[in-house]
Amino acid sequence: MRGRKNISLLLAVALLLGVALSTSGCGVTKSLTSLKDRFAGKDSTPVVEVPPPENQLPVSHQGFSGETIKVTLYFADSTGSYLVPEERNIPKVVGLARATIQELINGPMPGSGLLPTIPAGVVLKDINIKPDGLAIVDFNKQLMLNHPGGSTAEKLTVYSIVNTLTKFPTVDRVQFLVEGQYVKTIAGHVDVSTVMGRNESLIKRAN
Amino acid sequence: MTGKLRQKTTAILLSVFLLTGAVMPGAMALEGRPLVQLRLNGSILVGDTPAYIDSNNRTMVPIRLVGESLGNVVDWNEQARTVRISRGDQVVGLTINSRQATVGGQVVTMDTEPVIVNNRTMVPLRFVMENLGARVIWDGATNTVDIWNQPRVERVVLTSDNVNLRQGAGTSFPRIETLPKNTRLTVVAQSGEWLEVRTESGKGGWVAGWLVQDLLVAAPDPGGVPDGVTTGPEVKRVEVTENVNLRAGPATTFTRLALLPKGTAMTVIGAKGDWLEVRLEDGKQGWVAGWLVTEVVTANPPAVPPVLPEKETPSEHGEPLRLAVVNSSVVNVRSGPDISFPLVTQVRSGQFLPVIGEQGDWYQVQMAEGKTGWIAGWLVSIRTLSTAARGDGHGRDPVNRADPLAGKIIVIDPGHGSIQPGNWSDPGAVGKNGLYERDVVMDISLRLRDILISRGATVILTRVGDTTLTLEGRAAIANDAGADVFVSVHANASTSRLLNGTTTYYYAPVGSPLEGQRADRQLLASLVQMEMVQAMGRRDAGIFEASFSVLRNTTMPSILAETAFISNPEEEALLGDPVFRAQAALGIAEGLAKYFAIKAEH
Repeated sequence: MRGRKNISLLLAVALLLGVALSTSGCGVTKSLTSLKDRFAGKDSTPVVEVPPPENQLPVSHQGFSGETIKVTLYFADSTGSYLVPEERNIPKVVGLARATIQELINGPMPGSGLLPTIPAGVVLKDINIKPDGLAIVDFNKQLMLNHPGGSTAEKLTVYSIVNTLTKFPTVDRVQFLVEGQYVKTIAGHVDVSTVMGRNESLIKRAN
Repeated sequence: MTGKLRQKTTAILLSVFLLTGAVMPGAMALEGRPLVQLRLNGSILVGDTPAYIDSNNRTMVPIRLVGESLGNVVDWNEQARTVRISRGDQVVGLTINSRQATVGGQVVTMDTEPVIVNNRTMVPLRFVMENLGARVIWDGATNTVDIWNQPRVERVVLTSDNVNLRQGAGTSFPRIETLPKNTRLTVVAQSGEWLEVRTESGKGGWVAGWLVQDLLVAAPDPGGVPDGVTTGPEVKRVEVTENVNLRAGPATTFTRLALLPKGTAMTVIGAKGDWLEVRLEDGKQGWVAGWLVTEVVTANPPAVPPVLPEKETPSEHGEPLRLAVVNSSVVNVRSGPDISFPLVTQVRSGQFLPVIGEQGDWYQVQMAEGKTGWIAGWLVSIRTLSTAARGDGHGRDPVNRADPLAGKIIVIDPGHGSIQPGNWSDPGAVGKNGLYERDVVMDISLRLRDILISRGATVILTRVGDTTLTLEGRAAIANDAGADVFVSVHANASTSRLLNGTTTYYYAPVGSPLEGQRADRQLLASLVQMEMVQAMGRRDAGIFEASFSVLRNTTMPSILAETAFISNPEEEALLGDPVFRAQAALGIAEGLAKYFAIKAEH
């Protein structure tokens, strides 16, 4: 009896939330990361944060040999000022770079005290590593639209990706694309129009 | 006795400086006399005889034109060659070709005299207007004198799109409607930062004060924001019209030093925005609000100053800044004050490093990326930046009259506000309480522009509303203008709401085409950073090198100033406060002045 009541209560709440979302558009989901959607020409439409499509999860089994491999991901430290490496074992798949960036998008380990650097809703659309060490990464437009802004946050976003990829011996430079196009900048400060090299000065020195 | 004379001389010299400094830039000579445009409450005044600047550096205007435009009564006595101008119960009497005037029946002496030109009586504008209770503002950039006879801002225009008109003074009040950019509004009342307004269709409500711009710039309310807009009032002796606070600096945020009873007289020794730096009879110094004093006109300034003061006494405003100038080709910076300490980095000849400590023969210096280190004293020369080089309008060495900013071309780039594909304007970072970086940095940039113009610089803004320019396009404005420096004004953001503080960026990596400017760009960044930290009082998060588009693409020394973190709730509230924004602008201006002062000597 009581259980049922709770369920219907939950349903009612969910329904209300749904209504609130579709009408106000900026109540529950209002957050720093999603605010820019309101500037994408639709002030009153609800913000929907699309989860990455299934085929973006490389852990899905194509090419999985059963082995794992240790990769290094760079996330923001708890103060949001620097990058800190986090080592993580991931399945050794074909397209390891793609799988690694997906791990970066997934965010730091819970309880690590680290902060994510990639905005919500970002999908890696394509990645291509040239024989000369240039990695070309193509993200969806959420990388720009959902970015919280600020030069500090933008530097961490850009160089968490660049530093993570250049940790692979086959990669020494990174070119950003958004929706298949060259862009000047992600959030109005860092010049990403040309190839980017690794940035060691942003990595927190251990001491 | 000598001391008093010296003080007086300094004050006179300063006011002469303020005057000449204000009228010289851009003055156009016609028959040897620079012409001046007049605006009354924002509208251009045209007469049959143009206004001009006379040989005493006073703006002279036809009395009937301005007198009658203001609704003053002008009586001309042909026989005595005298004019009486009255406005309410205030009366000013003038005599042609005489420096003697009357204000409310009291005989006073002016520093110039009314004359007749083309059968028109020309009178000193400021003397007449200010004694009749109007406000006179000189704009050196356009050679315009603005006369305001209205006490407060009455008309404003929205600077952003989608501004909410609300039922009360705060974001918690219900929204009545959303107004587009450039909507003009009439201000009815003000509560804190919010304005009660009426739309042109007669609808009433409240809008956020930081999303509007004055259509008419008028006298601020007491306790209002120091705008840094105007040149210093040309007064020598003043007395306070009510009980007034003497403060440590030119804003209500500075510490109160004393309460001055109504009628206290003092000498004006400097000015910043609407504030006056004053010296009391007992020698005490401080700042008072310019709108709470009235001028006490004294004897004429002598044509030739009798004695030049030797040197100004050292500054009472903060520590003098010391810089270590590297004078050996490559010098090691170490982690401690001895060659046994490990190497931190190397610096090159000609680099300037701010000195933050000293031990034995070694100096502790501030470097980029928040690093500090120690450098051998015998490989550097130490430059102390006295108040004379500060060039901040007070404590100035009267022999060195040029403001270091005078004649400089400065491009200010208010960050963000770029129209994006899909036709939306990049708001920059957005604070939790809805403050947009785009709007905050616009306001700081406009304040900065006004300060720089008042100090004789030529200023170009890369945007005033939203812009279709790319980041390279913003840099190109500065490159095309042949600017001396480029300053991009921003507010920072982080995923951590705790992160706060002030940061300045530069870019000139070794091995890049910009390497030749490395020393200059680092110097510019350090000085602006230091002055912002001093002016705003936020955490010094240091200077950093970063590959930012506007810094890469500018061909002259450039910086990107991150004033404070809009993602930090405390700093978001501060950035919403116009006083804090004025402090940010003052800090940046001061850093630029210091930079040019040093460059002038090298």
